[in-house]
Amino acid sequence: MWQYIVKRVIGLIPLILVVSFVIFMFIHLIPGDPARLIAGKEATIEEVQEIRVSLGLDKPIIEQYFVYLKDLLTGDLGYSIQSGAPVSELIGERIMPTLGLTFISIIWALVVGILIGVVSAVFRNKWPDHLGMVVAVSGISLPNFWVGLVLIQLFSVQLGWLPTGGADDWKSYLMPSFALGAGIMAMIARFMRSSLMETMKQDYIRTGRAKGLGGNAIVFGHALKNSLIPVVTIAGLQFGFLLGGSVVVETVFSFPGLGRLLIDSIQFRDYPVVQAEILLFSLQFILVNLLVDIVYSFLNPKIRYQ
Amino acid sequence: MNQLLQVKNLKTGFRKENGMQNVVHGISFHVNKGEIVGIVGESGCGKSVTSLSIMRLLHDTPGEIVDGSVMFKGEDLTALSERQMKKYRGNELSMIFQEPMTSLNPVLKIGRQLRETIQLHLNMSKKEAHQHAISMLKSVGIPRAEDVMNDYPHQLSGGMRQRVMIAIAISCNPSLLIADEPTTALDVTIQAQILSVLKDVQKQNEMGILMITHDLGVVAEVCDRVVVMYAGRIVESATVEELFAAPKHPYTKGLIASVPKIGQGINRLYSIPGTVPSPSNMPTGCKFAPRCSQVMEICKIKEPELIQMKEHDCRCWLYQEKEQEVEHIEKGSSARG
Ligand SMILES: Nc1ncnc2c1ncn2[C@@H]1O[C@H](COP(=O)(O)OP(=O)(O)OP(=O)(O)O)[C@@H](O)[C@H]1O
Ligand code: SF4
Ligand SMILES: [Mg+2]
Repeated sequence: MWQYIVKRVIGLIPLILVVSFVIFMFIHLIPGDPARLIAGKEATIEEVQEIRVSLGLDKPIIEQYFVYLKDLLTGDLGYSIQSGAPVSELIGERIMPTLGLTFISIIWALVVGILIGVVSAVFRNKWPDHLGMVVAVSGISLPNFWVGLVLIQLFSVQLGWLPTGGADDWKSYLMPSFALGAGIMAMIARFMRSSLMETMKQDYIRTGRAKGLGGNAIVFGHALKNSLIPVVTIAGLQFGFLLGGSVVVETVFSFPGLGRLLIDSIQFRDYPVVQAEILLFSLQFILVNLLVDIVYSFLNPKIRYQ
Repeated sequence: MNQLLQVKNLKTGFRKENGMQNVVHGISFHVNKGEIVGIVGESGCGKSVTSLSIMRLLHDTPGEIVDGSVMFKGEDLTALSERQMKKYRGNELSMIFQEPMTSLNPVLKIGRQLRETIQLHLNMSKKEAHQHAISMLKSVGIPRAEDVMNDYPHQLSGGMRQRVMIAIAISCNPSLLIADEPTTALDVTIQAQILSVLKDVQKQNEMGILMITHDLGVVAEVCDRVVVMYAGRIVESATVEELFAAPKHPYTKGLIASVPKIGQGINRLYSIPGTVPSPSNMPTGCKFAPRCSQVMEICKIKEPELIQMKEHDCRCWLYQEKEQEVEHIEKGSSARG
């Protein structure tokens, strides 16, 4: 098991290099001159050129990439054009709220989604199933910014129970994580349902019945683990969308996280910040994929023993 | 009472859009204590449906027992509640299946899958169940039984998995084991090994076995008596010696002729012409008539009864008082015309 994990982590290094290169190149292809942006509208060509040299922007692009990579490894992400603060500091302030938000969202989405999926599959075509699937379809079809606005209207404006925004205490996490997780929860519920129903048709389920096992022992002892295998894959993919969704939800709830920071820095063409954030999102995505594979191998002994 | 299992007039069907479609049409047979009875017939004749009906395992399918009874040790299984039935399954009455590759749960260790049945029915602690499981694996000839307990199914070969299935099935000392094509998916040498394992455990435990197969070779190898099924009906039943020495029904004769014999070229292998009729397109008279080389007029009009002749039953007009029936039918039709 450990061997497997170590092997996978080492295998990620080239991937991360490629991703960082692609991000770097794309940022540099965007029209707009950061040196001019820093220097301001009134600056002379000489002044701009001076800034360009001081930032290393006059060097060949490949060389710039290696400098960037070297800085990256020492934890130097450059300085924000907008505020002049180190990018690592800006991200450091924002990363914990966003991690907390995504973590809470994915956990509740997984727990509730799996639960609804199992109940729907066990009671297929009866009322709990219909109810569960109505919930799931709503979760998929309602956009999260709309859910967010409705929640704010109801719980903050009308009832005054919850803050409209910020990330000050646990209360301010409730509505954003609900809005962010709803779609994923719905997706997981639907996959869980069809996966469990498919598993229940397998030969080994019939074997379980022939042993004299009852319904609960069959579902929880034999079917659940098998049916989780495809669900884990879907959950991992959904997590990627969750990163994108956090940008929208953080904006709706004025949540001080990475998503908001990204929007702000894109508007200001704050390239160092944008670049660092995109790299961070990509890393997160890669790590989630790794996590999915590890969970997958844990569920499926065939993979573990290869 | 000598009869362990007595199936009486069992009818099983599947729900279709246009109502019930029967696939087992009132079959009756019995298995005595410690006896191995074979059910043979081509694919689709209803062998598996019969065995699932006995086990009452149809509820995951659109299938349903329509009529008849299944007496097991004097109790009618068809009348039991699901709760009562669960106490029989895997315990007094157990079953193994055709596909050893998919019949074990791929994500659970062999040990867990064995212990589960033992702890469910035998009231043993986990430790006792573990020891019992190991002795069961040994009794079906699995080497390194202790190690195999920690293996996952994909680490074992097909033959080994089928041995594990047998170990699970006999772990609570059943009086009847239903084996639905236990060797079909295995290659020939492994087939022989599995059959001999089954014979061994049958002797040790004085178990009755209902051996379902489409292979008369398997029947000749292990069975005491045999029931031949065609299109959901029993067409012949006799002791194995009698059936091979003096088969009556043209279908049985065809089946015997199509068993490969040593020294016979593969290209001269006989096979019964035509195919099994589908349930939706059954001939009116004898269901075998379209494929029978000895078909007569009456065969196409009226289905023959299963007639008992000295421990040897047969459903064929060749062995019945057809003259009377023909007269009867002719009279009927002339009266109408
Ligand atoms: N789940 C099901 N739903 C509908 N019809 C079924 C189902 N299972 C079996 N049948 C029908 O019942 C009939 C008998 O099938 P059964 O599986 O008993 O055949 P069999 O004799 O076991 O054949 P084989 O040698 O292929 O295992 C077939 O015509 C089949 O179409
Ligand atoms: S009843 Fe007629 S058709 Fe049917 S098996 Fe006998 S001879 Fe053949
Ligand atoms: Mg079958």
